[in-house]
Amino acid sequence: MNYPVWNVPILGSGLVVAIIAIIHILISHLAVGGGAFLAVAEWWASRQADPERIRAFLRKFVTYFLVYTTVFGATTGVGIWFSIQLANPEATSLLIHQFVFAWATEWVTFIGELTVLYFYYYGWHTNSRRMQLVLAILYFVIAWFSLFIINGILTFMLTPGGWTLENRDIVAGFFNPGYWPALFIRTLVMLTLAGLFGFVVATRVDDDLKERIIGFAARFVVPAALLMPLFAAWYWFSLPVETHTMWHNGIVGVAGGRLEAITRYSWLAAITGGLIVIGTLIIAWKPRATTTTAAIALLATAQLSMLGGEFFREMARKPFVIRGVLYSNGLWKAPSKAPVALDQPYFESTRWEPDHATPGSAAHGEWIYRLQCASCHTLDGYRSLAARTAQWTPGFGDRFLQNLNQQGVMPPFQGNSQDRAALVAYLISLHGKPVAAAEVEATLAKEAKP
Amino acid sequence: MTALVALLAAAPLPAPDPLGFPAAPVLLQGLAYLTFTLHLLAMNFTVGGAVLLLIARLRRDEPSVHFWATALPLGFSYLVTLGIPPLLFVQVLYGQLFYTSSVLIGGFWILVIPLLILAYALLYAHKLTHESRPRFQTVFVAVALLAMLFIGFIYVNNLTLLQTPGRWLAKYTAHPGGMTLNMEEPTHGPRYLFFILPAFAVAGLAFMLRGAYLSRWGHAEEGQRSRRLGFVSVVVGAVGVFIGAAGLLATFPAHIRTFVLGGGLPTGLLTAAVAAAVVGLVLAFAARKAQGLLPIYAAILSFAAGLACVVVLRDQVRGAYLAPYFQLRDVPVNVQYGMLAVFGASLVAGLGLLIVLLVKVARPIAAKHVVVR
Amino acid sequence: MDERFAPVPPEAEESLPPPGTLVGQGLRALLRRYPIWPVVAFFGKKRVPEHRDTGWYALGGIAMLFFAIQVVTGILLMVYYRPSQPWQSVQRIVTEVPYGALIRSVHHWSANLMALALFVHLFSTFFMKAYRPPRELTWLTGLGLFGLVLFFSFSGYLLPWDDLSFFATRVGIAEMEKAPLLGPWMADLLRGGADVTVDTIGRFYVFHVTVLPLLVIALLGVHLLFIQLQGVSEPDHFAALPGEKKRYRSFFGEFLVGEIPIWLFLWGVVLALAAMLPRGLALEADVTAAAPVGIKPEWYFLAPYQALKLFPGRLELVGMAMMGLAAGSLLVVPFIDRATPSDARGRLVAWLGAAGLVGLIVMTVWGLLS
Repeated sequence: MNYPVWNVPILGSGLVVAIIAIIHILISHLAVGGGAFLAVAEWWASRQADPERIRAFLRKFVTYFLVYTTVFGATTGVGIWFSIQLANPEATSLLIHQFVFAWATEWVTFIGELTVLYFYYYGWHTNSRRMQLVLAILYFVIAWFSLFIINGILTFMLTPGGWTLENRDIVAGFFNPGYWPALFIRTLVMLTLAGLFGFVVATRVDDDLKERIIGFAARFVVPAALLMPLFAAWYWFSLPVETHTMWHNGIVGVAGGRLEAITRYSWLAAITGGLIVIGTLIIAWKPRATTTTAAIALLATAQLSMLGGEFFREMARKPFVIRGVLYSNGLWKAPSKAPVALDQPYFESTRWEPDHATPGSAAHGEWIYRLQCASCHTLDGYRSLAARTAQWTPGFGDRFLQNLNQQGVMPPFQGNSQDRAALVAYLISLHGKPVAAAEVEATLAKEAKP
Repeated sequence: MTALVALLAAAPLPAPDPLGFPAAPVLLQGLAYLTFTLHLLAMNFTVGGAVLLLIARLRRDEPSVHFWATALPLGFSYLVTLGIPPLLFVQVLYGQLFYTSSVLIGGFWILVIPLLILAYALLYAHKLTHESRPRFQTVFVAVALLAMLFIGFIYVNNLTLLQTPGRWLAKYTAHPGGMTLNMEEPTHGPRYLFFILPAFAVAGLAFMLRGAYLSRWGHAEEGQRSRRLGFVSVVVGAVGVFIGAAGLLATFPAHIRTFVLGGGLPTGLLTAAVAAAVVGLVLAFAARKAQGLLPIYAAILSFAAGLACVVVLRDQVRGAYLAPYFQLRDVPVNVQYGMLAVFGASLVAGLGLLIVLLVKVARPIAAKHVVVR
Repeated sequence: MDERFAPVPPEAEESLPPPGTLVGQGLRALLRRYPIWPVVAFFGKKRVPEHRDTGWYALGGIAMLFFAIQVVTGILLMVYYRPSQPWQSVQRIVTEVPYGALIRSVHHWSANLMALALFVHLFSTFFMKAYRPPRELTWLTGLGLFGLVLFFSFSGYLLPWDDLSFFATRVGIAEMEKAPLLGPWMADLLRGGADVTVDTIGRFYVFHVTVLPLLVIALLGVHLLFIQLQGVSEPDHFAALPGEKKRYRSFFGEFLVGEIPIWLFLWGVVLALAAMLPRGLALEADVTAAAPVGIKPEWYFLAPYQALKLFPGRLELVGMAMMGLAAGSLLVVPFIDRATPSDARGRLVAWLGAAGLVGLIVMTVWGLLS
């Protein structure tokens, strides 16, 4: 509650992060996998009867690759920075102060891989073939190291392991229980994407070369096809038990007749993953029949699969942004462990409400929404509060807020009974008839009398 | 005490992060200064280069167009990549202030990202098609330039808001969605010019460097022309910088002006910067006709040193603005020795790799691409 | 040669996998028992002309993909849906049956995407002038299928019997009732009386799961058979090419196989939509309540609904006549625009069609925003 909350209508600040991040994930994974592809392809080309023809294809590949990964990859990566600091400054601050030197090291790998790629691309006609192979391998190794680093920070958020705010044990936090399965999963994804991108570029050359390249690229999908179920199972078992419970409970519908989000997204990721394997088999079976549109469709299916995977990971962490430490709306868990701390007037723990939003005023409830709820819920857009509270009565709303944390995906409510009444009044007013907080309090008092 | 309370009421400063600093602030600041200077050089190179490219198009100067067309996407990618460490370190040092000011102008701050993508894509589109399809090329570069200029403007808004917490609460109450800037800041205009106008100088120096290498590789005429044109741009940039600096000093609040001009480290830095700029100008003038690479590299180093002095001074000024609210020395330091070692090792390895590649691979590439068409 | 078996034709021998392989042996065994090679060869001849608009040929197949998804998810939903307890059974599906909510969301989204694909298919065949002789009946059966699918959507929409579906259906049938002469009769027939009641569900359910599937499958079979018999239509710019410049792709071996990754992607899109924007269930329909403010039909019916609002009061009949004319013109277009290659009349028809498309989009967007 330290920071002002960025109120984004319709989408919500979290969805802004999601949109940027999901684009970035596809490109960044493709960027690393593409490095492996280039290195192996350089070696493969040297063993073919017509190496120059293959290399001409590689030149085309790396041109698309360079433009695509730099223009969209680096910028959306910065975009994630921008959006997370806007959507959750508290968490970003914690991560930065704990991991800045990890990020700085990752930056060295960024500038390294960029420079090596430029030497590879601009030196195409002047470098020896051996130097090109060396540069391609260097690029892949350096780029993979950037994954090695960011994976630690990302998995830390879901499974901080032995790290606590007091011990600041960066090694325990970095090499946390979720680290290794996630690293393997992402590496497999990278190789798969490289193969799929290879398909796309292969459709731009003529038929007999197209067939050979597709046959070559298809092999990059094989590791994931065989090993992904294994690593996915490992990852599953590294998740906290609360996540498992949430997933199992989510098989049947919850609020409003929808499956729990985590369950929906896991099936999206799994099924589309299977579709990618089927699509690759079809393309490998009939390479000459493959059009650019079909190859792009397969890459787009991979994007959907990653969308599912990343949303799953995000939902698995709810209600926390740093599991066990910091809730998504900026509430620290430690102070909230003692229930009495939560029961203080809300505006004593935040300073961003305007003067006119004093307790009892009309704006009281609105500003509780803005500062405590708006980080995840819009009013009538994504995760709409208006939709979710459509059937609320004062009594139901008050009880719901008192037991908010029992939902599993929600943090505890911070505030006293006046704050609850004000928020309930505000939410009920969203449905047409304005209701004052005083009315709600009066109704609750009446219902309390047996 | 009541003054502080009153101050904090209007400026609900978040507390610094409970984890504290992972290294002594002076080390973090040093890293920030170094990387920010490099970022500014890349940014000025790209922005200035875009302007020079447009001028070259208007004058139908094909060799210059070709040079800038290839150079700009490269400059842009290093601009973005070199912008990352300063962003990291400003978050460590001033995070609670920086995040707040960012959220307060959040609607515009997030716009930086699509603008970045737009500018980058256009510069690449230009590079890849400027010979085969010349019709819309000027528009590509002009729009990319406008996007870059707008990004810089948004940054100036954020960083000035960071150091004026008094405005925060009112701004948030009026615009919780962050669709606002910091237009009430009096130093805006001069500060923006002060950051942007050096672009002419840096791009000009780069163009002069090109000329020096061309002369060295046997293209004397083009090399000479390049140095001549580059120097004109350097002069424009230098004049612009002095105008921007004068304007900034004039629009500073009185106590800040006193801080900058009143002796001690700030005045020393200012003096050093002015001296370095003047020396750089003289060296650039000498490099117009001189043989060899030493004069131009010396000029570049001199300007870079002046820029570094300005970067340090900027941080000192920021500290002066924030003095009533926040001091770096108040934050606890929990040194991460292990991570520092890892980062240091990676820097050494990275630098080593860069040197090896430059020596083994760079010369033939540059010769091929810088050559006169 | 054993007289119980038919010989494998020599042309078949060339195309089948070698007799040493398992697949080759199996197929030959089949052919000896069922001499269907002429049929296989007949289907194998189908080819697709290759030109800049070849992509549009994929849309019919895409609509069929969504239809297949509807059939599978529909059958699954039928396991638990009870027309006598409509809302309660859907409530049970979405809150108690494992993955019920997901299957229902998939069914909802696939329905919408199928309608969209069919709109695009209709307009792409229109602008490529595939309706011209000798393909008039292909066009007419296509229009028939389109009408059946719209009725599929309309009938399915009511089945959950929540506020949204009840009032939207009531509004939709009320609009239908305004048509002169046949309107009230048709409305009564659909509703099973003067009002939308549980009896309406009975009728809609029978249509949705029995009558319409049978009709669609039969008509689809005829539609596809016509295409098989006559070949895929070639647009003018392709037909004008000299013989050796015309390139074709075999339909089953190349075009269809090339489409499969696109189908897989679209299946992924349906799943993604079901995951990100799941279909909720509103409160059970309260037949005594007033219609919620701003109730309107689903997007594929919005254009005529919104357009009719432009003709208030007694002008409504004029509006309806105009829409009837527009719909009717679709039916007669193969008999009006017959020239191959296209002539002035053909170009006029294309422009009118474009105007119609623009009008459709404008009315739909207007309807969505108001």
